[in-house]
Amino acid sequence: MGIFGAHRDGPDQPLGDAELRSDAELLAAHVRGDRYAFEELFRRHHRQLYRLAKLTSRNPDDAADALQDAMLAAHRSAHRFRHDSTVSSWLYRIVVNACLDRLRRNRVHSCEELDEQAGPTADPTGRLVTALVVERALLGLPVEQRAAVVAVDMQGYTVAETALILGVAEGTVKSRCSRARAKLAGALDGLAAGATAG
Amino acid sequence: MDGHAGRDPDTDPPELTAAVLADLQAGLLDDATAARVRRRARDDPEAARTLARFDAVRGELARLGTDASSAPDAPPDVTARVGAALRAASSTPVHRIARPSLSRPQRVAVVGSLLAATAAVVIGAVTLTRDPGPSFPAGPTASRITVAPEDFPIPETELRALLSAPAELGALTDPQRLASCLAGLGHSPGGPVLGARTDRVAGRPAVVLVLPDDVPGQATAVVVAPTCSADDTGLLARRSLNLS
Repeated sequence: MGIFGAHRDGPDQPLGDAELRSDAELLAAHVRGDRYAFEELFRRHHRQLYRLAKLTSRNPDDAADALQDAMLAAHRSAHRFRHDSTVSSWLYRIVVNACLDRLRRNRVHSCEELDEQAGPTADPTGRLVTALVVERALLGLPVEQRAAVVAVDMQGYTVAETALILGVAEGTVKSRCSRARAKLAGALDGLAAGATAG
Repeated sequence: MDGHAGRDPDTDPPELTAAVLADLQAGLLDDATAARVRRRARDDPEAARTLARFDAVRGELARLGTDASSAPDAPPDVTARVGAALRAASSTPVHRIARPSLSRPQRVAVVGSLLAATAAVVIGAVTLTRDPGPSFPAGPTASRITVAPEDFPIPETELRALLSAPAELGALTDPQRLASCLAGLGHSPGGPVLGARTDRVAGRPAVVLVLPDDVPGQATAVVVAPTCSADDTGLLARRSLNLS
């Protein structure tokens, strides 16, 4: 049932078919007027989208606000998507852009750190545990350092682009990346030490 | 900034601490210092391991950016809230939904309707419309202002005049704010503005921008809120403008 309950505009679209549509098909359907396609696209990627918002926001409330604003912006501008990337990459970038822009507009000098939050509780594989460790270590960084490495190392922005988005000097971006990577390396060291001891 | 940057090249090379190596990798060291550090690091197994750790960090961050399978669940209330906002946006043609947050001011935006009668004028719409009557989420933070749907607020002669006049960007004079606004409109953040002026539309302050289009010989004229940004352009209207 869920939110995809009994309503479908198209008479030839039983509920199950929706799950078979690719991201590009969902986006195209949204542009054509499918009222539920974009929401479905969001729900398909909501975990990664929220992760990115959380990693580039001061606190969970800001992350939720930024995520909603970003999704509404993507909803409005979907017709302009040029297919020069995957749909998911496009959504990720919109969320990160929105969060970084929010940080720039609300720049403060104090360094706030997010409390560590529960990670995935699924059976741990090497991949999941590493992701959990890295994500928790990221959340332990000051938001300014977190935003810098998310922009540069996670999203692939250049230092110049990141500086422009954050409204700081390029040297500041480099410095924040340097500090963040050094701290994160320590976290991965702990992971490796635990693995060898176990 | 790390104190090792800018050392006198005649002095001993800096100690290869993790901080120095992190600065090297981040591009913080001046050229001479970076060269000396690299030379020493090549012969120092511990330094090589440290640099490899930093490379591993960058690799893990890149993976985290795309590895959706390892992402934890978002809080259900967040997912529900965003889903509801998207659902409402899909069924409401001419308004924007303000976040249900009492700590933020009410935000009201208007978007012209789609598909004007003539091929030369297209009124930009924020969302697609199918239902005859818009509905709004309950609560005191959502409201709507309508504008006449058929006409772009600025006459074409005045838009063309903007192309040869100094750009008057108003609140968007700040380069970062302008870049954010352009990004929100789907244009390159560092892209040119062909013309601009401040104005009042529907009784509210606005900024008129003329921007390059993908189609050669054409431009796009938009009316946005002075607070235009990447996540909230406050787009009021949009039209194509033939430059020939």
